[in-house]
Amino acid sequence: MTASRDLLASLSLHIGLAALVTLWTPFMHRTDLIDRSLPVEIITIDEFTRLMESKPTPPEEQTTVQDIAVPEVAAPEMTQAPPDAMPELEVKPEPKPEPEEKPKTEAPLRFKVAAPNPLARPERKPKPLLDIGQVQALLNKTPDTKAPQAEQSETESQESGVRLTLSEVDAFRAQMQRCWSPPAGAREAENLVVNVRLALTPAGTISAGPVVVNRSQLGDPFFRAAAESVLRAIRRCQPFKMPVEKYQAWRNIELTFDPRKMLGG
Amino acid sequence: MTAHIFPAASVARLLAFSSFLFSLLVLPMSAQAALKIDITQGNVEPLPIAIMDFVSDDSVGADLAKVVTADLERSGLFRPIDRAAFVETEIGVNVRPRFQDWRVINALALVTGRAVQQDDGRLRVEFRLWDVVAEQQMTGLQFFTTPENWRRISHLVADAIYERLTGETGYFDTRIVYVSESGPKNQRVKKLAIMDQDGFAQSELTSGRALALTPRFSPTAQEITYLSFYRNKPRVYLLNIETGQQEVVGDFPGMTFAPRFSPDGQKIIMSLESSGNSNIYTMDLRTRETRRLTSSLAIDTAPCFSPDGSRVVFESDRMGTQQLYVMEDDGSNVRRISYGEGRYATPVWSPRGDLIAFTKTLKGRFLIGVMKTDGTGERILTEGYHNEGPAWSPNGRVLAFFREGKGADQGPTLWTVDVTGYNERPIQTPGWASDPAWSPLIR
Repeated sequence: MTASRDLLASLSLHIGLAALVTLWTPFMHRTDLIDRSLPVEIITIDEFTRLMESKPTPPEEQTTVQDIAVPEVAAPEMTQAPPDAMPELEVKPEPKPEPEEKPKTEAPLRFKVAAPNPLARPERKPKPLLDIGQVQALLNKTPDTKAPQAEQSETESQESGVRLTLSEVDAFRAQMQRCWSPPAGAREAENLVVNVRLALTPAGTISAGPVVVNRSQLGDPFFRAAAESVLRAIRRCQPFKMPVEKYQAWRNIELTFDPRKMLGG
Repeated sequence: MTAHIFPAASVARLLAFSSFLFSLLVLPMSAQAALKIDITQGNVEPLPIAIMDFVSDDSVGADLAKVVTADLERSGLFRPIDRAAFVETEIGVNVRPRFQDWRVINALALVTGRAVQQDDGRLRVEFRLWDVVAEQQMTGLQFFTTPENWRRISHLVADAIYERLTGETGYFDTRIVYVSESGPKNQRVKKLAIMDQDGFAQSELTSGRALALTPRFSPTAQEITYLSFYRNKPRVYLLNIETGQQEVVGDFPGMTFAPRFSPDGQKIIMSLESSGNSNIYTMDLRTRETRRLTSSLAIDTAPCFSPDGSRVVFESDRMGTQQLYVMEDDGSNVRRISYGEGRYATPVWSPRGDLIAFTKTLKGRFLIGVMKTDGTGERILTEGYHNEGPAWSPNGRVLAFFREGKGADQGPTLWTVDVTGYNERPIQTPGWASDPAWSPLIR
């Protein structure tokens, strides 16, 4: 009797075990799912700081308006400057007569209706979120990697002993990039890399410069246009938002404006 | 044609020297470690520019500003700011603007000017271009002209602004010659017409009694070479725009077509058809000497010189399908440059020398594209049902072409597109228009 009870118990246990295995297996599959990689949005530091940056936009606009509204004092500029104080005008000789007589009646004025933003390029692909090069550089940490951000944060820290974080450098870069419009479609973009040097006050305004370092190329009208776009960008971008406690690290700045990536040079 | 008081080169030297001096002042800061940052991204946006009506006693001041504004806007590189936003509404040409008023409306550049009718009857036009951020004058010029010439002066002003801000040579003071078409598709009347690059000042050059095709400018912009079916014999002609005089180019036995000037204007390069194939010839306009450059049993046509005159690009079906080939100016060293899918035709060498524009036929569609002169780096600039006949602006920045309509009652229209492939715009013409050719700078 005990033997048959034992048999029954063993049988029921086995059946129970079999049922458990059969029923459990699908759950095993489900746990498998958990092991699969989760869709994680990868944001480079660059992107992240840009996101952070974008928040305080309204106050930034306000400061711009205030900055410009305040100098009512600049009114003397309104007064008529004597003509001789003005830069000389170049005199252009009379244009050559048209090769062909124009029709006597003026053609009706027809101004073309233009697209609101001709440079809004529908086919342009958005910049990919993930820059493989940058990620690799961050991962490798080898000294000769080409990741500009990793490299720079190292550079500036050495002498002053104060370090800017990658995010802080990127915040500056993001602010600068928003202000800069390089001359579009200029030829030989590789020759349009502009190096400038400037010094900032603790408030982030310009105290010296900006000065074009590679000034030997200023004779080239393309380079001059590119250099002027850089100087305009720096001047209209100030004040730069930087951590005051690390002033020593960003007091002097050397910027390299390189439009090659953008212009496909 | 410019008599610069401060030539560009000396201004640049001055700028370089002053920046050098300035860098000496700033130099001590380099003793300390400077924060080094690369900026590799920016906004490719048209430059916001404020163009004020030129001060004048009559409407010419406002008209001048309107044409300048339209030229700059059409280039796609500038965004003229709406006058309604201007805080400062009148500035004399000899007054420093209140720059803060212009920064408020986000203008980066400002144009002020004046147009004065002088006692001698001439019109004096002056303008200044200001850098609103640096608070400096960038350029200032004066022009004298007969009052009816005001439109050309506007184009010259726009060119000066464009050149100063982009570094590129302007192209607004130019004209376009094209084939004006009228009548039903199977019985089209085709005559030559000429206009300013903005579509104004239209006039016709031929009567339309003989079919006229493929007009091309001489480097002086005084003459046009084109194909006329005068007395039903298709031959290349030379037309003087000023005098209206015409002559046949060369005395060839067969049909001559696809003419173009050499960059020095001394020669015409064209195709001569005989017994079903065609070869490329040049004719010296002074000595009337002709020279054969290709001798194949294929159809070699659409020749175009490189801007230095040392090479020629042309289309040929010598290897089965229409492709592009480059050879030396004596016909030697022929090499194929197009290897993409489809057929390639109407190659045109850029005035910059760096690119060749073409029409490409692919799967029944006609596309306009550019490639480097060795055939690499092909880019399609515009596609669609039927685009054809690219012609470069003299600065190599913009291409004009024509687009054929699809329906039976449709006809061709003229368009321009930036070499980057953006900013496609129509050029308004009174009727149908095809086969545009851009003049060199008239200066």
